[in-house]
Amino acid sequence: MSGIYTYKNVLTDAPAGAASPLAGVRVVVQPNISVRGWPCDAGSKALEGFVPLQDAEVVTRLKSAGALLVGSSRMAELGFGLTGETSVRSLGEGADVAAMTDTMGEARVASATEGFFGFKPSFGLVSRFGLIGLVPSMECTGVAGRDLNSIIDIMTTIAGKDPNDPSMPDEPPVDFTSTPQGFEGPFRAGIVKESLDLLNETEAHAFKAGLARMEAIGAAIEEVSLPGYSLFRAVHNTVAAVEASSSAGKYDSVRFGHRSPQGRNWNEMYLASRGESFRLPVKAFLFQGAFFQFEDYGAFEDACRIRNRLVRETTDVLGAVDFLVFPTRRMEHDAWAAGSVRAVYESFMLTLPANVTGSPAVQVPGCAVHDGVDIGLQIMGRRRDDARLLSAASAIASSVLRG
Amino acid sequence: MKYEAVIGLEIHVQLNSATKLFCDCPNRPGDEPNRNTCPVCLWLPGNLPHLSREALEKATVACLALNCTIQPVSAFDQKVYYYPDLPKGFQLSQHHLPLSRNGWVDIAAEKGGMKRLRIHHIHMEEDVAKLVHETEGKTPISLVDFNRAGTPLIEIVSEPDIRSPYEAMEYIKALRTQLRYTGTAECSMEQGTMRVDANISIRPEGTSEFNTKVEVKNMNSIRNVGDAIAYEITRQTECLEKGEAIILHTRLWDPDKRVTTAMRGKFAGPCVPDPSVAKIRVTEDWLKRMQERLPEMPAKKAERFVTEYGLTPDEALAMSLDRDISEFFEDTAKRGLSPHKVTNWITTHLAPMLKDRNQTIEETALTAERFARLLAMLEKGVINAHGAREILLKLLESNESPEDLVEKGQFRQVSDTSELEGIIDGIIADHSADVEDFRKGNEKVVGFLMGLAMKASKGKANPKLLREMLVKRLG
Amino acid sequence: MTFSERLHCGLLGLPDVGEEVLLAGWVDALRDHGEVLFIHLRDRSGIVQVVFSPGPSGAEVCTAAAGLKAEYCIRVKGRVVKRIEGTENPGIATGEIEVAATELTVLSKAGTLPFPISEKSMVAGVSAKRDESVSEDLRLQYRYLDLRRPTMQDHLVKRHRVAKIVRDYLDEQGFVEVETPMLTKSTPEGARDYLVPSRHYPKSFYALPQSPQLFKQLLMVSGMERYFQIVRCFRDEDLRPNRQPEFTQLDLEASFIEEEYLYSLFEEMTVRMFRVGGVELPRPYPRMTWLDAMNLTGSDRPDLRFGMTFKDATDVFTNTGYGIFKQILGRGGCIKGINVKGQSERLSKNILQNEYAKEIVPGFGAKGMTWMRVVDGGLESNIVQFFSDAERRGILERFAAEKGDVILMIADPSWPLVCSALGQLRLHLAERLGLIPRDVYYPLWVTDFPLFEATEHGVTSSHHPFTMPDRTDFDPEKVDELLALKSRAYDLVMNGEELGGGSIRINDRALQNRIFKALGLSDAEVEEKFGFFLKALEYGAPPHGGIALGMDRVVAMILGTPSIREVIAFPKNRSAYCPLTDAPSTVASAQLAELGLLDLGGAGQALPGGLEQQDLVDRLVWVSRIAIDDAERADIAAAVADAKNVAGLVRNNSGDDEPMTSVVVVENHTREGTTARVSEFAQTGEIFKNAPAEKGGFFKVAAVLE
Repeated sequence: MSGIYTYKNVLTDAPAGAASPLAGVRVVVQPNISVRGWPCDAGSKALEGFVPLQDAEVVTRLKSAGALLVGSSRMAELGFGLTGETSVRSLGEGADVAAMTDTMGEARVASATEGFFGFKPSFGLVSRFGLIGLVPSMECTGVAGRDLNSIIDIMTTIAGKDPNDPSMPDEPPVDFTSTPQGFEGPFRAGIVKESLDLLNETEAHAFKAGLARMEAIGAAIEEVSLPGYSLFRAVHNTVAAVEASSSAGKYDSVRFGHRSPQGRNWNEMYLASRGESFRLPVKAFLFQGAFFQFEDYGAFEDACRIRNRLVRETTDVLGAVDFLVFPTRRMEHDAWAAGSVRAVYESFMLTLPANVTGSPAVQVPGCAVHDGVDIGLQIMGRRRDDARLLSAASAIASSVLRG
Repeated sequence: MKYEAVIGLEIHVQLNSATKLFCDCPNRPGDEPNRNTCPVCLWLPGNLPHLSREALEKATVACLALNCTIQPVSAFDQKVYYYPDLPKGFQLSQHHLPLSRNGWVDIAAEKGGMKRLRIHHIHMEEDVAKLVHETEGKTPISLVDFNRAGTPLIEIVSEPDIRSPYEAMEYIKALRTQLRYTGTAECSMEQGTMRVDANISIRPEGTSEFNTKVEVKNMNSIRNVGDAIAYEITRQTECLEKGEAIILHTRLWDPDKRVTTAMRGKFAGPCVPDPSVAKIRVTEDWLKRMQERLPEMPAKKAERFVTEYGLTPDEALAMSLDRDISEFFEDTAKRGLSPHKVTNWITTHLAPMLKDRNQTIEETALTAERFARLLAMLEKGVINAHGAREILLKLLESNESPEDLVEKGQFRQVSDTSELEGIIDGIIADHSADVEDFRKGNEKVVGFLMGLAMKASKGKANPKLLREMLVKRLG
Repeated sequence: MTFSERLHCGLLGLPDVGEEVLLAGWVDALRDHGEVLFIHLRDRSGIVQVVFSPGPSGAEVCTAAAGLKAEYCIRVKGRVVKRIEGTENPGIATGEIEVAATELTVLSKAGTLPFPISEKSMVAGVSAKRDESVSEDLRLQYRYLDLRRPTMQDHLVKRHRVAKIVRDYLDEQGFVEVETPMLTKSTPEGARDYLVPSRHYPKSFYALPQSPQLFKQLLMVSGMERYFQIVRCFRDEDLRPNRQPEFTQLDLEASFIEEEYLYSLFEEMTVRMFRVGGVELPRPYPRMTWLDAMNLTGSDRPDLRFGMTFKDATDVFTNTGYGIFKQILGRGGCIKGINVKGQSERLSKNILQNEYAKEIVPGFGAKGMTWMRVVDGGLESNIVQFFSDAERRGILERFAAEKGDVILMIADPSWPLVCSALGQLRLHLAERLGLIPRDVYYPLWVTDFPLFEATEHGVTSSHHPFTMPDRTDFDPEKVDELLALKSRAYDLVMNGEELGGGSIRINDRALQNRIFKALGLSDAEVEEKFGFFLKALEYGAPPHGGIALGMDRVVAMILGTPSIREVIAFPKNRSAYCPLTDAPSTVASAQLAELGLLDLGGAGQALPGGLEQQDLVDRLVWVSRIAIDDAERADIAAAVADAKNVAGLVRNNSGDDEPMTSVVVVENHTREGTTARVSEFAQTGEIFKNAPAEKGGFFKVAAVLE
């Protein structure tokens, strides 16, 4: 077994018929997306030996659409960041696409680093049933792939209402099949001026190159303002830490997961099992969550108020332009090397606004390049405008191919 | 100094919906352990809670029966604490936005009249699992049965209006009557489908501030609630008189020693809005449908029994407290019988029989139709009260007709004057001294001789006729 | 005449007729017949009637007598005369005579009494019933008046008598009474200590002794061989109606002895003690092992004045089809029961089902109770239909049941729970049905106790850590082995109460060390708490053992008083409070300052920032139940500090929008919920597939001790 996979499927599934939309497409999943009978430990000792009883809805749909599930990759503990993550590396090694959780930008940042396309759909579009998640109000199943078409095919299959996920909103489906191949401008793209401060000189140059590429296919670029931009991180940190602490409440070693041999009474059993289950930086993140829950609930409520404002400001700005454009990653902040909560956040500064607001965002490789460094071009759209966003990305990508 | 008690009750009531609150598992905590569990109620990773409409509706009807205002929007929160009976690490409960607020029930005040006790709010929540403690060899262990985890509860939080153990017990009884009427809950403290926690503080009589309260748990009957509160009032009064501070804490009622003892304070965790469970937004149309589901409640029904059937207020109250009984009464009385007689037979004969058998009417074979036929035979003098009672016992057991039972059991009342004459002859011949007594003016003798005569007829004589004939003969 | 010539009221009688006597005491009661005034004069010896009448007494004395009131303290001179025939009062010992007063001096007047004191009527044949509604706290507040009552004085005298018998007897047997210190070192012996602050060593404390345990063992090391003491002990325990914070103990210890010596010594001594109350105890006292006591009565202090002992019926149901029993036995449980002989008329179906099974027995901690009434042709109950014929026959046989009997059984996976619940039920029924004979005394030695009991953290001593185990070849690390050890301890039990207990002690330092190790005490802790004592064991400690007896309780039992407070001169009330002196009370802060106690605890004091952060992390470890190791601590503290900064940031920028918890609106998503479905995973058992530990259909976890 290669270092990329934690579990490799023996592909015994009957070959899909030619009519199946995903016939022959090879998909790798993170081990926090439930596959019945597969070990799914979400990269955590908390789930040591855990084998789901049911397929995640996403998996059910992929299987019935004829996709081949090649195995599961390694992942950061409970999907918090990218430490130890290998799913995107699998794209060169046996898989066509990777289904991975995007909680603060993981799918986009990982793709940008490896030079692939990465997509995080609108919140509420894909069922969370079977997703062993951490931050329910911000995370969703994203897709990384070598080309946008396979991403669109996967999204066509996995998006849409699921009776097993009652938290999905009552909204008409997003029609990915109508995504025009080769979106022709003109469209208006905004750059958030408050975000530019985050970039160093090289990154600013690379971003400019990306913007030039967009202008070349007819996009009108304008500078816009999101006054609350600097608060995205604090809001994400507060809300996500609280939700993570709640989500991790189930890891108590009673019904599944790792149980410490220590502990002659339940208090000791809890302390020891949970203590042994989590590693840094997740453990520190859970402590932050516990701090807000038990010591400063007011801060959590304030963060939720600001979140409301940020969603409103973002919606307003996206009323004036079609998309917002950002770089995807910052070179000096390597998400794989992040060992602390603070370092994890630093590496997702540019991607987490989409998670706070539930907006779709796509990462396009090969255009925000300077001195041979590709920092990735990230385009974020209105919620539920996923199809148009992907077609704009296709247009940019084709222009890159054309040179 | 005289002190008065300020008491608030927090009452958990288990709703009798078919399923659990967030999954389709049967709402039957008593089944074989963990039989009624699934990935949702065990909170295996990847699962999501799905609110039961039936539970929501039953909760709503229960709130309406307690005169609460249903809130336009209510929502579930995560009440965070860690304990092996709680699979999620939090309990889904409504903290910030409860289902309803501002209700009340009326009770008979201790010194006469009515007293209205207010309800602060009612919210929904899921129950936790049950723990069983045992030893393995010599090592103590605990076992968890998640059958109860996720079953639907409502928590009824009173205003601190209650002033005495009596009022607390009456309040609970009033809640129980109202809720049982709606058919949404069984409300048995003994069976654990109703659990009462009491918050008790005391203050100098005439003052209005609230002092530090003490919470008492673990009472498993209404009487225990009264006893525990009475004990706690005495204990706190003694503390205050000695100048000791009352400390906020939780105490457990020990039903054996009849005292409360301090328990380790359970940590009061935070309540965070749950991001996944749908909010409840009440529509007018839906609320109207819920109101229509509310049956005629006991107070109203009692009033109607007075006007419609001419019952006395006491009789009407007795006939309306239990919904099954009230419907059975009405069904019987409608069949052309004296409502007083029906009431009398239900309270003095039928109700004690049911209690002794530990059954409800529905669980017996008795129907109103056959009960009415029995009472009709009694009214017509076909049988006497003694016989009617015997037959009633049999009607509870089988579907046989009362008429057949009369014949089979030879309960037919003897109204044949010649037969009775013969009995009276015998009695008078054997008790000439008593007859003499009567003639001297001792009227008590009649009762004595009546008893002998009834006995001689094996209880079947028509007592009215027998008495008439006996008095005539004696006179 | 001076007081030296004073005679005692209660001792006068017919032989004294004609004598002139000087008496002194209190006016117990008065009866005014106009010209003639009768009083009862009371001193400690008893009561005598004194008559003031114009003839013998003279007008002046009569006038003075007219001013007397109850409880005046007076001096009377007079002549003893025989009462006129027909006016004798058999209700008092001196009822055949009276004293015709000639002189009267009021020594001290009495104010209005808070409650009546007189217990004897002045009229023959009528008993002066004292008003029993006098509250105990009032009696305790005026204890000096309460103690004037002859009954209370009798209690104190008899108590003295009992103590005297003990001292005389032990003296005969060669025991020496040695006093041990009241100000001593706080040692963890079970209950909480009462602490006494030291002024010379600020913030250091003496402890009042919970028992002289270590000192008496040291006396054995000293070679005193036979020691005893009637000694006050102190325990700061939770309040119970019949418990005092300070109590008197007869404490003794002897060297070069075995258990039999102490049994015999103590039996003879207690026989003599009980004679003070006119009770003759039969010797020798029966003995019972702890295990038998639990298996037969569910109590380690069995009340054997009545029968109704347990029968085990577990084997009757080995192959039962009855679901509840089957499940319990499958989990290694047991079934025990009692036969309530011939009481089926008084225990109706309704009482058994609705009172006992539903209310009373659950109150004893059992999940339920099975009841069966024995009728013609077998058993009657709501569940016998589930029993096979063989099981029904088995029950009848096991309980030797006859028509009219009621059989009650409790089944549970936990043996201690079955014993305890059934034991409480046995007592409840005996009380309710009046099966406990009065005036019967049933002494019993309970022996072979377990040396240790299981706790949340390991084991604890059942008795105390100095008790000799029955075997010494145990491994202090193995809990199971420890829990199987028996102790060489013994309790003297009577009528369901523990009167005293003791043990043979450990006199070997190495063994004592291993016991401490078993208790989970570190060497440092042991050294700190018991170092002085263990050192003594290194210098030729003889084999020894001893026993202690609760004097208050024994005297109360001998005298048949309802509470031990009746045999203590100045007790605390049920709340450990003294209504007479208002102790305990607050003290001046100057006193506290002098003792260096003002700044203890530090509540409300700000701690340096670093420490606070440390505290916060530890608090979060506890509330979120996530342990951390030292390597992680700094990172976690930094993350928590970050969280605090983030909290400040959002607080300063919060604005007044509604809090948003999800970016999408999801309302009224419900499922029907009218049809229940047993999960396929529950049916197949897959639900346990990921469980770290399963047992009999339950998820198994470490003990949750409540």
